[in-house]
Amino acid sequence: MSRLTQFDLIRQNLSRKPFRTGMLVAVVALFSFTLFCGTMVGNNISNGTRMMAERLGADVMFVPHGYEKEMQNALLRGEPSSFYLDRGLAEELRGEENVEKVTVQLFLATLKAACCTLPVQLIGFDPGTDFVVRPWMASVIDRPLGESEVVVGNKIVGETGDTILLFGKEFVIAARLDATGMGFDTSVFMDIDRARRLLLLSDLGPHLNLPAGMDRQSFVSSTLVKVAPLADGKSTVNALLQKYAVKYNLDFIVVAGMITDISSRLNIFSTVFYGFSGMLWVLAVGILALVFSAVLQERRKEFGLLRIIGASRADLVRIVLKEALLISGGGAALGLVAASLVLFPFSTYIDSVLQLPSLHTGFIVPAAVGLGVFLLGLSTGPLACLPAIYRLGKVDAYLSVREEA
Amino acid sequence: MKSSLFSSLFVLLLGLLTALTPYYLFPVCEATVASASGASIPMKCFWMARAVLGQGIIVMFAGLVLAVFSSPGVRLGTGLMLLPISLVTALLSTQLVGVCASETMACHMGTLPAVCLLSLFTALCAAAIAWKARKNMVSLKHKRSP
Repeated sequence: MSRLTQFDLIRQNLSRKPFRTGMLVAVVALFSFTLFCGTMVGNNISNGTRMMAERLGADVMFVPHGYEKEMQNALLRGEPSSFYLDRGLAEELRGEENVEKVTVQLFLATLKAACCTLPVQLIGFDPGTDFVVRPWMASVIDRPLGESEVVVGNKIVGETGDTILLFGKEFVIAARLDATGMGFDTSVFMDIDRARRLLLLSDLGPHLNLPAGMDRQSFVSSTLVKVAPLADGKSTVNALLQKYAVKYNLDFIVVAGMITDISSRLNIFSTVFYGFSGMLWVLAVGILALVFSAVLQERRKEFGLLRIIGASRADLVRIVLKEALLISGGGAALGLVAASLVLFPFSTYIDSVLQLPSLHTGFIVPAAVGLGVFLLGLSTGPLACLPAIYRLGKVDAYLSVREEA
Repeated sequence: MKSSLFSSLFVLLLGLLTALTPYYLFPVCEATVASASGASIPMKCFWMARAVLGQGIIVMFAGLVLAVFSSPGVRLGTGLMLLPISLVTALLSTQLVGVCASETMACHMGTLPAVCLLSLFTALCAAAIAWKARKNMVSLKHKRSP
């Protein structure tokens, strides 16, 4: 006959009421699932927003009137679009006081690119004046692009040296950029004049509907401006708008404002979700405390008998604590596994639903967050059973058995 | 008895989800590509969806078998066969047919992970059913022999 150990007692106690045990595990699992998912999503959006602030470089972007949304969507989500602006604006802005740098970009939506007929955003940049794309490109390619070369975003299909089809012409992928979490990840970059010629020589060229008076040989999509460091950004932008908005029919995007908007949305999300997680934790502790209290009450005779046959109060406390740890540990682990099965395989899908810049970190941050969430979930059980343990210490063994007799 | 019915219904549900995922839950791409002759043909995710639909129907049938037959031998055999079926389902979406290469295509970011996860759950459920059935067979054998 094998000895009855503490672990045997615990296992039998938990398996005797499988539904109750399952529900308690589920409560803790729900808490750890919510906390892990929310923390990782918030962390990814925070990384993406920070990267966007670092990469964009410009203080304000001028676009044609009515295309502000398209420009934002192209930057944040890589939604391909095409729009056209007179290049003359950039020439005039270069002469303005308080303007440090000016560059232009051309946004074109292709019809077919690598695989699978999805339109891709083609971004033409001016190598002579660019201060947005080039600093970031310098880390992967340190020479000018050739006539038939492009640089692709991190999520474009194809390796360096492969060819990619744009407007019916083949281009060689010269380099792949690091992930940014922005729309640039699904964009293709090339020289602006080459991009313009490509469009004009394509089937779309003869049907290109440019605004009246716009030079077909030098149109752009947006003009990006960096304000001088000591100048007041807001008043500079206002002054430029007053001067050029009507003449060039402009809309504008203040980059700091866009990032602030995303950050405030992230803050709201974080507040709501951490508040909700806190509520779930309190709920988990409360439910566990109630159940443990009820369970210990119904097991008074069992504990009394154990005391009579030689178990100390410390032994009883250890049994109860271990049960609590098994429940909360099992729930925390289950919640983390479920969260991992949702978050990591569906990360791209979640990003597409959120429609915010999102940059995933490596292994260390999720592991650290997972460990923290697990420890927090694990603590739920022991915390919840403290009142019951306190009352357990006051129970008289003889009386608890005699009452049931 | 109750747990065997529950596991059978769970397998049935997994089969149904596997069949429906590429069409309704996480639909594959609807766009087409032009062939060399100029015809529009569906992309490979379309064919993967069809194959996975077939696999889902097989898993549903296995669920029905498990619900109807309580014999440990039948349950063991069905559970064991579900293992390679779920493996093939996962391979259909990854290697055997696959999905579109681009990460942001609907089939790549939704259908592929969903089918793989459902295959994993089916395999785990099948392993548990087979293990339980084997245990029942062994205990029945011990009861019969003096």
